[in-house]
Amino acid sequence: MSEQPVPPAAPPSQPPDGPLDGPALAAWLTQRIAELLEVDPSTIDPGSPFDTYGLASSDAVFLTGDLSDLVGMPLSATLAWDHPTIDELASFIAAVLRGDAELPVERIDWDLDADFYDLR
Amino acid sequence: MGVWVIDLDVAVDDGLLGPAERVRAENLHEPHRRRWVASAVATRTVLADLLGIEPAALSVDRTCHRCGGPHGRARLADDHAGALRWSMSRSAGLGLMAVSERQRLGVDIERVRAVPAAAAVARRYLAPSEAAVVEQAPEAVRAEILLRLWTRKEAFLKAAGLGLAHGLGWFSTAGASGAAGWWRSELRVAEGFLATLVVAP
Repeated sequence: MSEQPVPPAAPPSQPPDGPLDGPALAAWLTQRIAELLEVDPSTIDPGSPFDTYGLASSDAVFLTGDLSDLVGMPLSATLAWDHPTIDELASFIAAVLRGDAELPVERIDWDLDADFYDLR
Repeated sequence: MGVWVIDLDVAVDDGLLGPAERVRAENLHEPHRRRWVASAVATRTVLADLLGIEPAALSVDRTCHRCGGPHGRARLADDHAGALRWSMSRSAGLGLMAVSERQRLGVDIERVRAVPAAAAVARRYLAPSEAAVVEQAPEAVRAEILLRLWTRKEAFLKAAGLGLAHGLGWFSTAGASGAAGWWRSELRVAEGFLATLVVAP
C-alpha cells in the first residue's frame, strides 16, 4: 500500500500531456476505469481482465467511444472484448497509432449473457 | 416466466457455489467478487426452487460453445438440461434475473450515472434514430436516455443470443414498442436504476 497522498482525479477524458504511447494510454484507461468503478486508481491492476472488476458492457462501449475521440480513430464496440485488459488494449492502440497493427475487420460475436471478458 | 430483483450487497452463503463458480470468484476483485457471488447464489436458489431441488444439486454448465472455455452462457446440465432459460444482469448493488420454461429472453439493468459525451457516444454506436433521440434531449437527461436505450438494446441482443460483433447501429429501439413478435417491457426495479426485459418470439 502506498503512503503517498492520492492525487486529485483528472476530469473525464482529459487527454494526456505527452505522446499517445502505450504507457500514456494505459494511464488514461486506468484513470477512466477507476472513475467508472468509483475506486482509487492505485487499486486497478492493468494486467487484470476488465471483467474481474465487474466493468459493465455498457461502460466498456462508452469508454471505447471516448477512446475513439482521444486517438482520432473509429474503434469498434467490441475492442475491449478483443483486448480485455488495460495493458493489452493500450499496447494494441499504441501499435495501431505507430502503424504496427491494424484495427480488426472480423470480430467474434461473444454472447452477452456469458462472462464475456474472461475469454482465456 | 418470472422476474427477480436481487440485492447483491447482502451477505450470502457461498457454500452453495459449485467448483467452477468458486474458481471464478477467486479471480475477481472486490467489491465485484462478493456481488458476483451473490448473483451466482441467487441464480442457483431461484432455478433450484423452480425445479424443486436443492441449490447445491443444480448442475450448471458454462462451456463456451465456440472455444470450449469455461466462460460461456450458463446452462443447466445433466438431469435438468434445457429445463429453464434465463438471463441475468448486474449493475452496482442490484441484480436482475428473468427465467422462462420455453422462451428465449434477455434482461439488462443499468444504474443511472453520468456518461461523458453521451450524444457523441450515441452517434458513434447507436442507430441514427436512437442518436437523434439522445441529441434532441436536454443535456441534463442525455445520459439517462442513452442508458435507457442501452438497456433495450442489450436485453434484445441477449434474447437473440447475439453479441456486439455486428455493432449496435443495425437495429433501433427508439420506437415505443419492440419489433413485431418481440415483447419488450421496461421494468421499474428501484429508484436510480433502469431495466428492460425482452422476450423473443
